[in-house]
Amino acid sequence: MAMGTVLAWTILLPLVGGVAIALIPQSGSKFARPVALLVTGVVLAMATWLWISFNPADPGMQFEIVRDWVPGLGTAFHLGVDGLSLPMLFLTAFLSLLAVIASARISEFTREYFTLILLLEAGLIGVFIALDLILFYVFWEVVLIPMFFLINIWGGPRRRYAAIKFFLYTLAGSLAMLGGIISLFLATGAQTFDMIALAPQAARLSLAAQTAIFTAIAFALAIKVPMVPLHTWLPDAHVEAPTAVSVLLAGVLLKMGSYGFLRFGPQLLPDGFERLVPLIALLGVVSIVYGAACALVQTDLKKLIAYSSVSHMGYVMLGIAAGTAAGVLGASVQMFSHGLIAGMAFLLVGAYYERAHTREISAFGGTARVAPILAGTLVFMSFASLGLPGMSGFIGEFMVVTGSFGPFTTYSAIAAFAVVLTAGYLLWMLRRVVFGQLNEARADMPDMTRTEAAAIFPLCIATLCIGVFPQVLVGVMEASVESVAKILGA
Amino acid sequence: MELAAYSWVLPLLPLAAFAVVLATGRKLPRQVAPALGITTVGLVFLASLYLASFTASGQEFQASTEWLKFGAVTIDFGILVDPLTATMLVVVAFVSLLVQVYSLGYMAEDDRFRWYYGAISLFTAAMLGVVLSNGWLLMYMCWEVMGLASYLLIGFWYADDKAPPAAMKAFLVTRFGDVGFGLALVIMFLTVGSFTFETVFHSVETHAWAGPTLIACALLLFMGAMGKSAQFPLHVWLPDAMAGPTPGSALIHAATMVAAGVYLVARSFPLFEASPVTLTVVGTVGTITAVMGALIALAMNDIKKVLAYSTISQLGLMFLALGTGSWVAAMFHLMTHAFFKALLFLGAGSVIHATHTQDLHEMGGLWRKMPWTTATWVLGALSLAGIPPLAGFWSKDEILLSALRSGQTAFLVAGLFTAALTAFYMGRATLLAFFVAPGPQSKSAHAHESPWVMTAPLVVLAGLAVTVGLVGSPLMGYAFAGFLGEHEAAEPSLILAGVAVGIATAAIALAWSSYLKGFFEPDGYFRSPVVTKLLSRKFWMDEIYHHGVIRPVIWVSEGLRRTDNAVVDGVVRAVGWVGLRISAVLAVFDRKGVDGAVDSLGNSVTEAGEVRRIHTGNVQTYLMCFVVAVVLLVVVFAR
Repeated sequence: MAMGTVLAWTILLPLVGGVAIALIPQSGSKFARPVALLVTGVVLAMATWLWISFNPADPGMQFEIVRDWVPGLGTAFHLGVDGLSLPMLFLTAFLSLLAVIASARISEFTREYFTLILLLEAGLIGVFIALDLILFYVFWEVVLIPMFFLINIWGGPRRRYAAIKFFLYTLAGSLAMLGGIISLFLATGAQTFDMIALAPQAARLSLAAQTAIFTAIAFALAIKVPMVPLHTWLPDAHVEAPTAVSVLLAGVLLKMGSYGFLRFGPQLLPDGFERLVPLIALLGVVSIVYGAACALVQTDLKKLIAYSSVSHMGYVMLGIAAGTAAGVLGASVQMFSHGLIAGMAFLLVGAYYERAHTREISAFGGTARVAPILAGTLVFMSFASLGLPGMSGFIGEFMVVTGSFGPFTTYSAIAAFAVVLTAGYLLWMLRRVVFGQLNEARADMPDMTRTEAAAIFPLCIATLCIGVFPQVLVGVMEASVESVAKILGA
Repeated sequence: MELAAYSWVLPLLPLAAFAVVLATGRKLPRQVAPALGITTVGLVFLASLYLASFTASGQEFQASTEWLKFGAVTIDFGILVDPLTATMLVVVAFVSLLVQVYSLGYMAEDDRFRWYYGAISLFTAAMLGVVLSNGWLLMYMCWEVMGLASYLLIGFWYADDKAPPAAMKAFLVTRFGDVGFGLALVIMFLTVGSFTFETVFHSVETHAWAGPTLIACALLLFMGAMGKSAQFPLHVWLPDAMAGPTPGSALIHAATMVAAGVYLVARSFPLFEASPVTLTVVGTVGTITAVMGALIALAMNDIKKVLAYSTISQLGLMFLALGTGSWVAAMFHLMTHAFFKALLFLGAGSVIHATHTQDLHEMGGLWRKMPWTTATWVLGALSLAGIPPLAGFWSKDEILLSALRSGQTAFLVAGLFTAALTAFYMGRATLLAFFVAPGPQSKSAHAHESPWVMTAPLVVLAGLAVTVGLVGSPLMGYAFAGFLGEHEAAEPSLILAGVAVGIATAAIALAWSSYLKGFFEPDGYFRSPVVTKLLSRKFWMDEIYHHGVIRPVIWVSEGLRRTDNAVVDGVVRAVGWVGLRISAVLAVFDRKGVDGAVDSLGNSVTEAGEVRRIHTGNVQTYLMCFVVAVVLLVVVFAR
């Protein structure tokens, strides 16, 4: 089978699987999760296959596949992966499987739930491998809809508010993005939406045109990342979303934004991107410190983790803005790493919530005594998140600081010192949740279940593997990263 | 193949012990955990003896392997076995071995006995990694893992009130220093393009790398050393770290990890030598710390706190030695200090085990009850006080000599002053714990000598505290300095040695006459309220951090959180509200124009209550559209 077909089926299979689940009669609801497990498992296998077949020395697109779609409009069903998108594809497949595993307790509208999860997976993968702007935009929007329903139906008490806020926020961004894409199409005069074909003509656009178009697109991307001050949808969405959805939201959805910056910036509108670099770097470092400071004083466990995502994604943006090989590589590693660690964090917070039916930090205390494995894993997650060497977070953050030290020395130093603040909010959380006197209300809190372990431990192992052998990940990324850095260095 | 080529296995042995404990938890038979820990570290100790003799024969071993490669950049990880490494290996493995044997007795009753051994093994693995690596990046990575192990051991008794905050404080303060270490790596990478000792030293020697970036790099490295080695003003974490189990304190917070900063500077010495200003900084910080630590130790009543401030002070002395240019003297003192301070901590542990108190005033008269503990403690204390011919005398003498020869009078005077204070506070602690008649609140009555697994390590360490100094003394031709590669010994000064011993003896005599004989009022210097306040409040350093750093950070963060909610999100909500109002007005004019999608969206905003039904209705409609769309897509694609 041609690898391009395999690539296409990473989108089609979740869609087909989603249809299959939707068509299961009511009486067969209990089969929804097994089918979803099977589908996400096969998608992960395909992603692994693609990873193994990938030629790391080639910086360009691989496994490309093109089918006519709407030829009159100049848009085609064009897919492909390079060193920037393949890790994201893999991450999506990996986290989707774990999300399905972690959704064992979904009891209402099971079929709808798993259909939507699979649709979400298809949309996310589509965003990362689409090479046609219209196709990209369609997938971008496809992600929005299942996410809206997943939060709105299976979410917490304020789910409606959070879902609509999420929807409107990102819809506003999407409109700007659509405007940007159409302007790009019109300005270049190229009769195609193909990103590869469009690139040389887009790069020739005037600085003013590039800046205007990129600003519109960057607005949408910045909301997704999210960059301060466009982040306020995130804490609400996270707090209300069910656990598995939070995992995908923090683990993958946010990366749509930073991935878009890499795809649209250096590769499509380099001059416009360069123009915005000072602002991106500034907002990146502001996000790092602001997110960490807000996390420090949260009383809600899930909000704390949500703000920590804002802070960690700031490193990604600082690395991208730096534009050096180390910076972009660091950003890419950090994107992958944050996917793993944030996934771990939300699974753990979800496990704590299920046991206590509250996310208030003060409702816990001394849980190491009653649930040592769960508590120990929370400690593990915290150290991974604060960038302890030997785990993936260190590799990404260290590379970002190294890569940005040349172009943005002050920002780089601030980002380096912010790790103390990161350690501060995480260790303070541990002190109140895991350590100290046992809170009597938690006296009979059960320890980690097998299902939870099955969802969480693979993430722990992956975090360690990348921390100790980063070449596994870097090897795939480096050629494409170098080509991005070369464009920006020129 | 040379056996030394397998040195990379050494850290992996205790790491494997840790992994087994972590993976098996309570399923592991209770006694297997210490068996694993002690066996692995015992093997490491034997190997390190071999490596010491290997390097003593003038051989070195170095090997690297590629770790990370992108573009033109290649980062290697490797090991280096040279005399400096071998010295550290022997010290770390030996103290770790003795501490683990001792813990068989000390921790026997503890519920989390296995985990204790796991954490000690993790620490040992990380520290072995620090001293074996042939470059700063790998060293930094192990250094941080060492910080994690320290955090876990300080917080071991997590249900205690003091342990969790102490663990957090230790990690945060050292991590602050480590940011400096990390930035030093960044500068090194951007200027030299390598993290390997050999490569970087080469570019320093050839002056390919010089100037402000080199100075900055050296100072930032020192910042890391200051955190780990508890140097002023980053010393505040170490006294609190005493909340951990005492044998763990002996290993990590007295003998080995806290000395890693000294090792770091000694290892990186060419970087410091290249810019003398950095040495002045190192020496000055060390001097301030040495004096300050010794002063505070005078006023501490907790036996472990006395030792903790003593450790801070002695580490300061080592940095003082580095500042005068003698890394060999610093390493010599590091080694002797590791043995006699581990001895004192384990001795304190023995006392605490017997009396269940750490307060010196609740002890007294223990020499009758605990002869072995008393005898070994006294030897350790005399060694620390610098009484010849015990180990501490020789190494402290080398430091003072180096200060004398470098012509930096301030360092010399401070060194002598510290020596006097040291002899006094050790005299005070020794007399209060073991020799004064037990007071009314004394808990000594039911004390008894500790089991042999605890006293045997004390005896072994006492033997070393007495003798190990000889290897660096003129009596053995400065063998230690020669081993480290320094063959030109500074000419000894009998006068200096005489003055130092005289001062120490006088200080001990003063302590003896105040605390035992009552010629002077015990703790009489407390009569001065200023001194009392200054010392017992530890120069208000904790308060300064609390009000100057922690409170402002929380305050600013709280402000940001409120702003985030009220202003940043407020704008968003205002936009949403305005949007809703406009929609409402439009709806009045054109009710029919509002299409179904907006309508249902509006419903979901405004209608409370049984919205879930409506939504699931939506979702089903939506899913039907989805089914049709997918079928079309597959048809298009498969065409």
